[in-house]
Formats: sequence, structure tokens, C-alpha cells
Amino acid sequence: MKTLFNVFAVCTALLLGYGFCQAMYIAPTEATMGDVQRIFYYHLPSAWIAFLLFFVNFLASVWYLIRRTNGGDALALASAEVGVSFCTIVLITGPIWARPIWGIWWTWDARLTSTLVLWLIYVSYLVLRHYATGGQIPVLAAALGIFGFLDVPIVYMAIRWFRTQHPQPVIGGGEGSGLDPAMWHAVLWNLAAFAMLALMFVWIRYKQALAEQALEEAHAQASLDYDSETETEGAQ
Amino acid sequence: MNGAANNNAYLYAAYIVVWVIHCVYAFSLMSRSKRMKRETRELSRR
Repeated sequence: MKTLFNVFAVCTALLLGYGFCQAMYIAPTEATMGDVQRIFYYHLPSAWIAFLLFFVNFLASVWYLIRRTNGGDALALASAEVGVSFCTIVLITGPIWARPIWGIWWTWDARLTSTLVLWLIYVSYLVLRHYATGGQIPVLAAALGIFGFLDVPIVYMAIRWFRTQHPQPVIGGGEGSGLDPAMWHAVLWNLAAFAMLALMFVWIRYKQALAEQALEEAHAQASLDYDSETETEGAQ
Repeated sequence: MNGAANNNAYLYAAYIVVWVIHCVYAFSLMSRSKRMKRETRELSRR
């Protein structure tokens, strides 16, 4: 299993390197924006992967509420955590791209605001998981994950439903939208590379979450054993 | 030309931010793994 993981990690690193070359050197320079448009090759795949991971969190949360399995809870936590890191990238690279093109870092339009709300929902999910105590925390977190996911379609559709500063979608955006085929190569290579990286992160975090649960149970058992030992000694 | 060079600074900044975030997250996963291994060892010693 470890060998398989190492092979996967090496493939991911190679793909990330190739994706970087595609984005920086091979993809053609956009006519209006110039080289700064290359931020797009990291911005768009990161957004799609964040959405995908929040969807995984949604499914795992539903699964946990139905079956109450440790695996469902661990997968929900892992996908939310990795999803937040990708969503953070979207929220930082977006304004860095916007500044030279729009002349502003941020505007409260529907796409940007709903993405910020999405990020806040899943950050609050992680805060709940990290700081709250009690047996019902996974249930509350699952409920938050399910209702939090409702924001993902809103983020996705925001540029179709509202007049926004954000550009129109590259897929199904209507007349005048879309991408040069050479640009698609860079998008797809980076999407594959980041998907593999995300899968690796989720896998590691999933295993850790399972180990944390086992460790907590072992701690609880150890303290129970200790209590019963001290009670026996006290009685003697 | 100067404007294009300035815009390239935004491009580099964005790429650096992406890699810093991924590296910080990978590092946090590794340190968490180490801490859990240590805790497991301590627990099994008791």
C-alpha cells in the first residue's frame, strides 16, 4: 500500500510540474490581459476541486447521518478540510488577478460574495469540529455540511442569475464565451494534477481522522481502566 | 512594457501563494501524523 502511495505521489508531482509548464510557458498568451491571465490555470481548477470536495463532504455527511459510520465522518472531515484549502486559493488568486484587470481587489458582487460565504461556512464547519466537545458534534457537523453545500450551486449559478463583475463561465456561457483549445489543455492538465493532489491530501487526512477516532476511544478506555483501578485500590 | 512587467508580479504572487498554501497544508498533515504516532506510542506504554 505504501509503495502504491509513493508511486501515486511521484505521478502527482510530475503532473503538477507538467501542469505548471503548460500554464506558464505552453498555453498561448491571452490577447487583452496578457500573461497575468495565466492565473486562470490555477484559479479555475482550484474552484472546481473545492466544489467537488464540498460535494464529497455532502455525500459523506448524508452517509454518516444514515449509517453513523466512523468512515463517513472521517471522509466528511477530510474533504471539508482539503476543500477549504482549495477554496482559500480561489479567494486569494481571484483578487490578485482582479487588481491589474479590474483595478480593484474586491467587489461585493454575487459570485465573489457567495464564494466568500461558502468559505466561511466550511471554515465554521472546521472550527466546530476542532473546538466543540461532546458526542453529538459529528451529527451537528454533518447537518452543517449538508445545508452548507446548498451554497455551491448558488456560487456556480451566480454569474448566470445576476449581473456580476466576474467573467461569464467558460462552459455553457453562451455566445462570446469559451476558451481557445490550446488554453483548454493547460486547464485540463492542471485540473488533473490538482485533482490528484487533492485525492492524496484527502486520503492522508481520512486515515488520520480514523486514527484520531481510534486514539480517542483508546484514551477513553484507558481513563476508564485507570478509574476502576483506583476505585479498587481505595476499597482495599 | 512597464505595465506588463508590473502585471507579471501579480502572476508570480498568485503562483507563489498557491504553492505556499499547498506546502503549509502538507506540512501540517505531516506534523499531525508525527504527533499522533507519538501519542499512540505513549498510550501503548501506559
